[in-house]
Amino acid sequence: MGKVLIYGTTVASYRAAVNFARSGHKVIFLNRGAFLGNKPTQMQIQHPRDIVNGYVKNMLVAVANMTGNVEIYHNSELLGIDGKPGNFKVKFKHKLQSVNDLKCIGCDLCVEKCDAEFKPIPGSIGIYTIPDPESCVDVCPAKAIQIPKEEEKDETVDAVVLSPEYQSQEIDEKYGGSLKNVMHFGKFALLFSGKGVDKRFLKREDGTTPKSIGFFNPAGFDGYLGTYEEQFLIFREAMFMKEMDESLDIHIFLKEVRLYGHNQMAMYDKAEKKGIKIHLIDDISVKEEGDGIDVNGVHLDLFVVLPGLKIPEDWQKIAELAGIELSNGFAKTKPFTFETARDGVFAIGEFVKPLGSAEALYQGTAIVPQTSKYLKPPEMPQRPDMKFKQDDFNPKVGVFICECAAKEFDIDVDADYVIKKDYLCLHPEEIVKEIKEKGINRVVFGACSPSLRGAMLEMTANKAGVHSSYVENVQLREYASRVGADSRKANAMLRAAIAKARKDVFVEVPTVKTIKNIAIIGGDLAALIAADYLVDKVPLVYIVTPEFDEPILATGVKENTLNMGDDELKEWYNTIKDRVLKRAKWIKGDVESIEGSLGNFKIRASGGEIEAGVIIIATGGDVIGDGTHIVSRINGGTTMHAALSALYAKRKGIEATYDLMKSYSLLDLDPPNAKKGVGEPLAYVKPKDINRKIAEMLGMELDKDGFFFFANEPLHRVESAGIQFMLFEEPFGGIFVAGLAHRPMSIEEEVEEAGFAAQSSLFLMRDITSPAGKLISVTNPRKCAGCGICVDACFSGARYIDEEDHIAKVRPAQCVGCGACANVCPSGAAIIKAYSPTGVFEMLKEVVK
Amino acid sequence: MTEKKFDPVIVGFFCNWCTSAAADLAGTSRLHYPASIRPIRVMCSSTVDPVYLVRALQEGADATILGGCHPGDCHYITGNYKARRRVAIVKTVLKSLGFDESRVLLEWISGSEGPKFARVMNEYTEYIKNLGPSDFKYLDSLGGEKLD
Repeated sequence: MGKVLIYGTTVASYRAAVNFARSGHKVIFLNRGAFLGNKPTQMQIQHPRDIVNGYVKNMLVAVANMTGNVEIYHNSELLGIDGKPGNFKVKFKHKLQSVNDLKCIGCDLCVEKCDAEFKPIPGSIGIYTIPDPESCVDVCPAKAIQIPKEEEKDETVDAVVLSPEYQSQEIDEKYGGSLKNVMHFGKFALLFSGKGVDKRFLKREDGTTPKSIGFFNPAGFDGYLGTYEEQFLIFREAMFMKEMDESLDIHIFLKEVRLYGHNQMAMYDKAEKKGIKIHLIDDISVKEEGDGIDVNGVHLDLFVVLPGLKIPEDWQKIAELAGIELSNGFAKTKPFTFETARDGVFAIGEFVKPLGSAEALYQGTAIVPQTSKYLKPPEMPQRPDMKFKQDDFNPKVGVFICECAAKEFDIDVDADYVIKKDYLCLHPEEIVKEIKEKGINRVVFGACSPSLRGAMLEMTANKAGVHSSYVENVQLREYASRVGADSRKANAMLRAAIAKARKDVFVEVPTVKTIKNIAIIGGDLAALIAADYLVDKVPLVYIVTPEFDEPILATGVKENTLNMGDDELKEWYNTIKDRVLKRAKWIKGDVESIEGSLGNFKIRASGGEIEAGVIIIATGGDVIGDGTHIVSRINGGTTMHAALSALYAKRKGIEATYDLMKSYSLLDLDPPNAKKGVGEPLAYVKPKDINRKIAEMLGMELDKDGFFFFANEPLHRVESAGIQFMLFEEPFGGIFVAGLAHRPMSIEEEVEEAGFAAQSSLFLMRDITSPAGKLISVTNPRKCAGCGICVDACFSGARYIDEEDHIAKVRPAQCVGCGACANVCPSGAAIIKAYSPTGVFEMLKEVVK
Repeated sequence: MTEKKFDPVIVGFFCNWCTSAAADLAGTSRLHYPASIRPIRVMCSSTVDPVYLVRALQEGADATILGGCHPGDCHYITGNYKARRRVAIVKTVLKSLGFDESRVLLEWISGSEGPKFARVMNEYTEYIKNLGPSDFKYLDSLGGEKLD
């Protein structure tokens, strides 16, 4: 298996670590902070409320526990990298935590006996710090206490991925940092409640509720960098506020509008329509006036600032140690890759360019294909085959009580067996033994939360032959003992779970056989890049396109791309094309029909039929105008890109102007030869006409310009709502959109999206067990009327009406177990067995006692 | 007869991704809240059938809370919007039957808002204590408890 060292904790690096581990490589993860999340990611600083913050970090911990492929070092510092790709000697120092947070079970013994200090962390047990660990090692039942000493370590790895973080910024004095009634956006976002920031909590320092609010992001001022995401957040929050209370007077102050991609620029128009005043300003003056704030002559009760990001000083040192070059403060990479000038050393995340979280997640996935040439072949662990006994009618309930969770309670419940043990999670073999000896077939755990140790207990029950659908988890510790509950509550919760366990029925979790071929539709650059990576990983890659697009020049935003000559670019393109066409199967012709779903697509093209498990749509775009340039800016229905236009102009020596700038890149550091004004695009991208046909075949949606939303309808909300879904592959329904089919973009972004689509498809190239697990939705064929309401309610496209039987059916590979279908079904035909009324009603009877 | 102190029972349906995570955080942070809260973990606020809310009241709970993710943050994209609509309907129905609609509470609490979770639980329990026991459980036609 290959071995990769990842340095830094950013959204991109967390994601990269997860993806390397999942694809069967070993990861050495160097965290510069004392625990994961100590060094905040960009998202944590800017939008602490977003659940992506928790997801990226907790997924790493989960994958580390599950695969055993991740080694995490805390308090670490890079000391140097020697050697060549495939055999790097990386020297670093690190310091152990006094309590190993991966081993810690949160029993609190060290708090009682060794005065440990505790810091709660969302989604984890929390961080314990022991002042004098030497004398305390034996106290811990989980053997998590270790003596923290600094040590130097050498690791031999195949590739190095650098992803150091930005520094968090306070609000600059110039923007009213020390003034009253100036608020950090991060603080503001955390006041969110219901449909916006609740006015009950949104108070100025004198306790009054503001009537006018201003938002500001300093991108473009004084070397502050900006991303589209910062502005997206501001617009979103401003609109939430306006929606909640129309009488609020809301102003947004920006130097340039940097919303890009689709439906994001639409926010600008929407905000204006809602009556939010957007001020495009060249200078800003913030001063106190009366009991409010005066910003450029506008009186505000509250001024909310989302500080931009600045390049931290330590990046220079990291670059020196790693032996790589910086340009404009960012890591310099080879054209269209994340690889730095030093072979085998890669840079992703904020270290490369200012980016939003969606791009960071693209990068964190696309890095796997890019490094693969240096990595040794992956080793995938074999999943043990488990046999479960199915018995719905003779429940024999065993209640396992963890003393760690329930020592202060007087447990009095009626079950076949009540077994009390110290620290259940430390003695899984005893649980297995008890279950087997006593013939228990329903297990109720009275322990801790599934997000902590509870999930592991469920797996223990599985090992003893009890299926997950017969396991109930009562979080006695987090929901009762730690929050000051009494025995009455503890018993009520346990009895409810026992009552439900008795009614539990076996839920078979289906596995879908997938076809291991991949079909790429279209001849965009993204199609070639994705195919280039996939050809030697899957049996067959089809490319369905009548022709391949010419590489569209001058689309790169970064300096190195601009420096690349047209000939060089053509050569690069042709090498990839030759390499791909030697091994992939090119079907010359347009798609005629597509049928099927994730795992089993049937595509007809140029007379033949092909089968594929996953489809990547990369139809590309036509360039109109002078035919050499992509621009993206949405203006009166045309998609353009003013910033790129300006760059192009600079390169060609043409005088240009721009207005609504949607750049998010190095342009900030070296403004092009362009003036601000009402700009005219030099050229723009038009999506291909075939998009409409493909969208119709797949039931997807196009935006008003004709670009694809990047996931199945109505998943396009991901782009306006959140990006959490990029963390999972299944909800995409086996259809990925990459490149110009998605939106106008630079070649760099095409490479990122193509890499994302390729690697994500690879994760789907296995037989897919339903992601819903025991919560999978089923249809009772005798009750189903085939009305199709559940099909509309299902956001992941897992339900469809079978044309032969005229009843609703479930695609197990896509069902995520949310239960929306069961809830809307008027005839009770759609059911989530684990939450069926039979069990829940029994539970409710007991829980209220 | 001695006066019995009213100790309400409040059934909480908390979504797995946000509010349950917040409850976990409240737990790991040792934030105390009244024992009257009986949490039930569900996958999504939209998993909760409105019938479950009514049934809980009928079985003797004095109030129910439905906790979900903030709008726009739902793990299942639109689940919390669905829950919001359903709760609005449940409230209308309760009101038209002559019951206090405030015995059903919908609250958005994200996974990092442990303190908010504890605060909401405290405030709501206090509110229900002042409101007194629910008489919903005595509604005989719904199959509830018999009134003595």
